[in-house]
Amino acid sequence: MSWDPVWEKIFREQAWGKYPGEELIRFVARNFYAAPDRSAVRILEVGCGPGANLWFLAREGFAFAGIDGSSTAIAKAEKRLDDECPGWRSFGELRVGDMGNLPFGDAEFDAVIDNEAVCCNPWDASKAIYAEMARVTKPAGRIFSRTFADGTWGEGTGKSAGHHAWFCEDGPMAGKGFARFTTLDEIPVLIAGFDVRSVELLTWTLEGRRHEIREWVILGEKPAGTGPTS
Amino acid sequence: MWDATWESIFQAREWGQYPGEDVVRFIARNYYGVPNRAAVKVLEVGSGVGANLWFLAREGFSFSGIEGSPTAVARTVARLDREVPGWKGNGSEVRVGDCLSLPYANDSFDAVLDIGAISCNSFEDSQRIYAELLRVAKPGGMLFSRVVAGGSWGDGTGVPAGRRAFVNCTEGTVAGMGLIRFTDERDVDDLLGSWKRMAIERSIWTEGDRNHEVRQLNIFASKS
Repeated sequence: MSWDPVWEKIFREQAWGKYPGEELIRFVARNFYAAPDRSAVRILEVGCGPGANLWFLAREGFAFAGIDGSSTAIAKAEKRLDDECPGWRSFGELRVGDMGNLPFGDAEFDAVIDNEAVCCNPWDASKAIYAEMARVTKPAGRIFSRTFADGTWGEGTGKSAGHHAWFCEDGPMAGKGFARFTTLDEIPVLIAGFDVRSVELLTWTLEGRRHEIREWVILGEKPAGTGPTS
Repeated sequence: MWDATWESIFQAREWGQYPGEDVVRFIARNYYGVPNRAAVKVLEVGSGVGANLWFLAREGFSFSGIEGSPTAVARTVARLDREVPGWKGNGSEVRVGDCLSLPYANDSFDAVLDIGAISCNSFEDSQRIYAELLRVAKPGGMLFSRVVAGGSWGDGTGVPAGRRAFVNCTEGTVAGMGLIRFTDERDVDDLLGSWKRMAIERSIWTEGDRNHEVRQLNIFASKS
């Protein structure tokens, strides 16, 4: 099971972000805005939470699927899509489920998205999730993964939880259960099913530059000509 | 002064349609909890095609936008009409105009936003715009100004155009965008004038597989 129940509580109690991040928008725009038929482009988000990114994909006319361990998050995503994107069920789907065992066939998606969801999982489970993401991606399909980098505020605080992981007491992941931080050299190992095309670093400060958040934005491509991996 | 380069940029490009993460964060943190959002008045200078105004409208705030490009203002209004019916209800409006001389009364706004617009002005004009923003902000009102920071990709390229400014930088995300002024932290107080500085945050993202750095400062201040 690659999902921490603390997120059920978080999604129930927190007013979560409703708008997609700029990096994700840029990724989708650069790769898919010019597609002749956007509804033929199918994108999966793992750990989609209450669906800010799926709402964006739906608004922009892409086919999508979202999966999350939290039934509260999926119910919120469903309500928002019902309210704002009538007819979304004809081109989108939502599932409560386990990212480590995706309920999709091989090579179904043109792109797969992880917006700081995989990093809530231990190293081995994360590798397995990325492998699952590669399995369901079409050859030459893309991955976008935004994930916390080493050196982020909160890393090393709280209780140690295995490989570069903590139950943080400080920082953006404080009180949110398990958090794993990724180093640059780990990325190709972690995301072995894709050729990593670029890794960008976002750094931004909080509280008058007292703290720093560091995030990798990893873009990759599934090697063309690779068959299904299972 | 508004640079006509932007008219052709707005005509040619499919510009950003969604609000910046830091804009959402600023508004959420300071104003999501108020009992009556429609009573919160926000001004954005250089509102472009209106991604942030659209966000403010959706979230129930009152707003004004001012922008030099008629194309950008027309797109903003068309989108608001299409997606947020009734958006003018609380007195919200968008107009073509000049940030150097704001067409608003003193003490009008709870918050004023500059998301990269003032950076397109000379140092002296920028000082005047910050002073105008201070004039139209309510006592206790807040400023959020996102500026291009010194050392950002493209700094020092193009034709020098006064204090820390260049016309048509030849590199980076600012290439070909007319006048761009780069803000160094030591110049912030000089720019802000009588605004009371609250915090400066730094934001850097890389481009070209970490070969280039795009740098911004997020400046927060209040009118005391």
